[in-house]
Order: sequence, then structure tokens, then C-alpha cells
Amino acid sequence: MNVLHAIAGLLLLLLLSACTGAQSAFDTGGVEAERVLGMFWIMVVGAAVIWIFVIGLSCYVTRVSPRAVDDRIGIRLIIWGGCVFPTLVLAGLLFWGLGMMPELRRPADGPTIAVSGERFWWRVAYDVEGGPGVVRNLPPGGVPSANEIWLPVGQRSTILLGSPDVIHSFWAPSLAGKMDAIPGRVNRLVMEPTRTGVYNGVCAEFCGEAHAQMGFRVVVVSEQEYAAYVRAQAAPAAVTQGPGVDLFLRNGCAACHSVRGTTADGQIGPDLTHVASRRTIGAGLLPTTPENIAAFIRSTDHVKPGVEMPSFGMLPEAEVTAIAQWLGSLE
Amino acid sequence: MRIDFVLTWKKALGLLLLAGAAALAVSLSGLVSIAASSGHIAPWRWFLGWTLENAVRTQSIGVGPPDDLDLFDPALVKRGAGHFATGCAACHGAPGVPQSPVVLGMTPAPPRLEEAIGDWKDDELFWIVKHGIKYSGMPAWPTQERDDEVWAQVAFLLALPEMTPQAYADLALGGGLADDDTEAGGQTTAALNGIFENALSDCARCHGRDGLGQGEGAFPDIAGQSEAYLYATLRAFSLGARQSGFMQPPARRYEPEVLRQLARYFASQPAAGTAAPGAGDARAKTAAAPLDSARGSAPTARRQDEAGRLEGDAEVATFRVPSASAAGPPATRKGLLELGRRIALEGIPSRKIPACQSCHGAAGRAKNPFYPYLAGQPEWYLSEHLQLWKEGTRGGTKFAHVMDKIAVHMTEEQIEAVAAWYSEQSAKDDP
Repeated sequence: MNVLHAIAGLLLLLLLSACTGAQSAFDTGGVEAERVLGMFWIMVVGAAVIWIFVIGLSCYVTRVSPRAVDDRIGIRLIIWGGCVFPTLVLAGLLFWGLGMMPELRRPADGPTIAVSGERFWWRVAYDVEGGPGVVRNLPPGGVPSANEIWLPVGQRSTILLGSPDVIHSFWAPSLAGKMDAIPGRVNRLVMEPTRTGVYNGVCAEFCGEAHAQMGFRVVVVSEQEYAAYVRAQAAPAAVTQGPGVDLFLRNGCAACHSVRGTTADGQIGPDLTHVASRRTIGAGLLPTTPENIAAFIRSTDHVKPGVEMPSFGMLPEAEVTAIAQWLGSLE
Repeated sequence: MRIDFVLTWKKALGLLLLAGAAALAVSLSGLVSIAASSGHIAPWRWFLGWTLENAVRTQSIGVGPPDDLDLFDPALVKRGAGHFATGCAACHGAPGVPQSPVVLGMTPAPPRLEEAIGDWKDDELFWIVKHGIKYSGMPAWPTQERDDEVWAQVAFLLALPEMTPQAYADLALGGGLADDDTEAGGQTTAALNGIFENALSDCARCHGRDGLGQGEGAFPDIAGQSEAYLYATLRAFSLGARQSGFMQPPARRYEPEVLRQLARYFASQPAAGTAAPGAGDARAKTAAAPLDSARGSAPTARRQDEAGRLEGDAEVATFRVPSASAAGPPATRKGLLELGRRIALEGIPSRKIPACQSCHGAAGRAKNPFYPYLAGQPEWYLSEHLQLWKEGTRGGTKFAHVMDKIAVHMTEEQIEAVAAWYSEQSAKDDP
């Protein structure tokens, strides 16, 4: 049965290999995710101990020593093992878990970033001021971006979550637990990354056809890099003249998309001012290249079924290419 | 004599087979009377008619006009008139138009509708016009997606019994033809000097030679729309990519080259209010606000007056619109128009509704000729077509699907509001 053992070993290895990487709650890069992971291990070990005890006891009374047990012992076992012990364990876990919350939710000293989950992408605004504002209930102002969230390492950043349409859930497993983005209210999530790197995030609440393609990236960098990044994002677009710009404006793209520095000021889709500086397009779907941008424009529904942007395959190929080239140059 | 017959399953099956074989034998013999010349024998005629009436009465149960539809609205009657002349009159005749002996040779012969309309209820007329009648020669409506057109046709039918030949000629034939001896069959052949002139008079029966829909709001304005848009739209009708019982038949009648000429002709007609002074503007618009910029960057006196509480920055306005529309439709016409104005000029970003003017405004249209102007179009036309888009049944040019993704986010009252606002604008201020 050496072959079976080899296969089992291989499967286990494959399974474990899924536990590392940019989107794994086992491969933590943030304080909250570490707490969650610690809690997970304690519960796994505790559950294993209890499971072994219960199974062992039932094996003992059915196989090793199968005889009638005294009523008094039985009743004591039920009261102590079936009522008192679980109550104590669950209460202990509850108090321990609740005790973690104030620490995790304590005020942040880092930047405040507004994130709005929208079918099927993430609207991001850096360094928003003050409390909840008017648009989408999230604070006004801020530096707009989409689908990629940069965070300074070692700082507690506040993520304010909202949604204009349906309930989404913001989850970057390596960094923190999940938090719902609920229409009509603002939820607050604190993230304190402990090491730099690029992490994956997903929408963790089914929100429609393209739910599985509603991803994002979290890029954790040093404080200086973060400040430089936000400054760069706040600047107008690098290229604001040329055939791509004209075609973008001519075909009505600006009704939904903004490119700061041009007259495009639509507020419905992602801000494209620095679209090429982001790692992916289509909310974590494809690497940002002019070819992929062109493919997306040409047939949105094919690349990302259910997406709310119409396909523009009716535009001449040269126009799509020119628009994609221009967007691909907006770093 | 005593007949000793016991019915068994075997015998019953044998009888059935025998009956089937007999039926096949009758058909095979070729002696069945299928000649229209022989008509039906009276009891059979009665039986067929009775079956038809029962079917129509039963199957039209539950059909009802939309709540806000007035079947006696003259504009609705007018919408159905032009199609009647080419689609219906050829068989049924019309006021002042006799039925041709050709169609009277049909079995059953198409009835004169002036006399037959009274036999049916509105719902039943709707059902017959929409679905047609099998084996009778009565065709179904060219598309099953346009109930609004079928109701317009029913409105026309209801007006038919009282209609004089003069009124019919005005409504359906573009006027001026009543004095001529109308040919049996009711085809409109105003002039035959060239297929283009013929096609143009076909269009003009409804849209008018100036493309302004004869000034009653029964038809959309096509004057001054871009040639590219008009041609692509006619082709879409002709290929069935855009659904309309009224427009698909005429668009199919003519070759693409003729459609191109028609598009060029109507594109060169001045839009409402833009003709030279004294040129006879068919529809003078009063409540006009300049639409010079997509975002309404230059507030006009009217905007400030009516905006009132909304003066100030756009963000506050954007915030208030969803709340306003979430609490039900605006109670007053003024409120409705204000909501419509905001949707048209600013959109409602948080509801994923872009500003209409960003494509349909003068600036957007100058860049892409496939986007039509909306100012001054009839209110019913705008709301009906937004509804069709919302339902996903509105095709059109190769750009039409862009509206699918927009209209789906609009509520009924937002559609009403934006349709109302555009209908009160003038193409003159949005050249």
C-alpha cells in the first residue's frame, strides 16, 4: 500500500501548500489576522482534546468494558460533562473573544481610508476627513482610487466601509477578519499590517453574478512610501492629450469614469486617473496591460460576466486600442 | 333482433385506429374542399366563428391597458393611424377606402372594421391585434415586445367607426389625399416619381415631411437627428434588431440605399425651433432652459428659481436625490421636472445613473453621431423606451445596449421625471 501512502502524503502536501500565500489566513501579515489565527489554533487543539476524550469514553464503554453503568454515575456524567463543562468552556471562549475586541477596535492613529463595495468592484478614497459624509454615507473628499488599497506598515489604519447597492463583505484574510459593507451605514475596520507585501482580498458576501470576480489587492509599504503613493494618486493624470483622450471623451466613457486633468468627471465607475499604477483591472481580475484593458473594453460581459459596464465592442478596433494604450500609460 | 356487442379495450383501440385511418384516407383522396371560392357551409361557418369568439374571449382574460393609458387620447389614435393604412386597410378597407375584390375573395373575407369593432371589448381587440388569428389570414403584430404599439392600434380601431374619410386621410395618409379617388386597398401612393419620393411620403404620413411628427406629440422628432443615427436606426428596424410593429414593416420595404437617402433627408431638416424665423415651427416650446453644457455649468435664471433648496454644490444635490426618490415620486409636476433636470444634467452617481447629457448633450453628440438628441421628444416616447430598455427588450443601433446597463438602475419615477423634463426642453437650445 505504498502507493496509497504516497498519494495521501501528496494530497496532504497540496492541502497544506494552500495555507500559504497572499490570500491565506494562515500566512498572517497583520495584528488582527494573528489574533484570529491564535484563536483558531487554540480552538482546534481544544476541540481535538475534547473530541478524543468523548470518542475514547464511548469506545471504552462500548468495546473495552461493555457493562451497565450505575445510574448515579450516568447522571453525574450528563450534568458535569454535558451541561456544566460545555457551559464553562463556551462562556470562557466568549469572554476571551470579547476581551480581544476593545484592543482590536481601539482608535487608530494611521490614515483613514473609505472603501465602498459596489457591484462588482471596490471604490477607494485615501485620507478622507471627519465622520460619515454624504456620498454613499462615506466621508467626502479623499484621493480616489479603486480595487487596490495601500497601507503603511506598523500603523493602525481605519477602513470605513459602505455600499450603494447590496451587502458586500470586505475580507483580506492575511490581514484582518471580514467586515460587511452595508448600504445605509458605515462599518469601521481597523487594519494594522505587520509586514510589507502584496495581499489579496475578496468580497465575502454573495452580491450577484460577478461576486467571485470582485477582488482587490492590499499593498503594505513603509510609511514614507505610503505618503509618496497617496501624493502621486492625488496628482492629475500623466497624459491628458492625444488620440486616446479624445476617443475616451468622444464615446461617452466620461459619463461614468473620471480621469483628473481631463474633462472626464463621471462618478459611477472606477476613477481611472492612475489606472496603470494599479496591479489589476476589473477588480483583481486581470494584470494591468494595454492588451487586457482593450479586451475588457471590447467585451466586458465576456471577461467579467455580470459586470455593470456595457461592452464597447461596437467601436472600431483602432479606437479601442488607442483608448487602451492611453489608459495603460496612466501610471 | 339483438345485437350482441361487448366493448372491450381491444375493440375501442381498433375503432380509434380505424377512425384515424379513415381521416388519412379522406386527406389522401384529395377530395377535401380547400377552395376559398366555395366558402364554408353555414353550420360549419357558425361553428368556426363560435370557436374563434370563445378563444378570443377566454384568452384575452387578464389583458388590460396600463393604468395611465387613455384609449381616447387623440395622439394615441394618431400613432396607430399610419400603420393602419399600410398594415390593415389593404384587407379591411378604411373610411372612404373600399375593399378590393381580391381580398373579398378570401375565406373568410376580412370584415369591414367600422362595423366589426363594436363586437369586441378593448382587451379582445388587443389580443387579436397582438396575436393574429390562425387560418384566417389575420397576421400577428410584427413584434411581440411592443404592447404599447398594440394599444395605440386599438385606440385607433376604437375611433374608426366614427371616422370620416377626410379625418382618416388626415390621420393616416398625411392629409391632402382625401380629394383624390382613393384606390381600393388603401395603399398610399401619393407620387410615383421615384422610389425615394415614394418612401419619403411613406415616412411623412406619420412623421411629417419636416420630421417633426405633425406637431401633436404622437411621434418622435426625427428632424435634425444625425444621418448616422437615423440610418443605423432604420437598418436596425429593417433587420429586426429594434422591435416595432409600426417601423419594422416600412423599414423593410426599402433598400439600404433608399434608407440612407431618407436618413440624409431627415438629418438635413431643421430640428424643432431651429428653422429660420417664420418657417413654421410646428411645436413651439415654452419652458426652455439652455442645455449648453453637459453638467449645466452655467446656471440659468430658471434653474436658480426652481432649484431653490438645491442651490449650492453638486455633492449636496447628489445626496438628496436618492433620498427624495426613495421616499416616493415627487408630488408635484415641478418636483418631477426638478428631479428630471438633475438626472439629465448631473445624473445620480450613487444610483449608477450617469448624466444623460454627457452623451445626449450637444457636446456628446458632436463627438459621436450615434447618440441622438432627446430635447423636445414626446414624454410618452422617452418613458416608454426607457421602460423597454429597463426590461431589456429595446434594441437599436450598435450603441443601444449601452442604455441597457443604465436604464436597469432607474426607478419608475426617475424614468417619468427625466422623460417629463426632456419633453419640455427645446431642441433649439440644445443644437
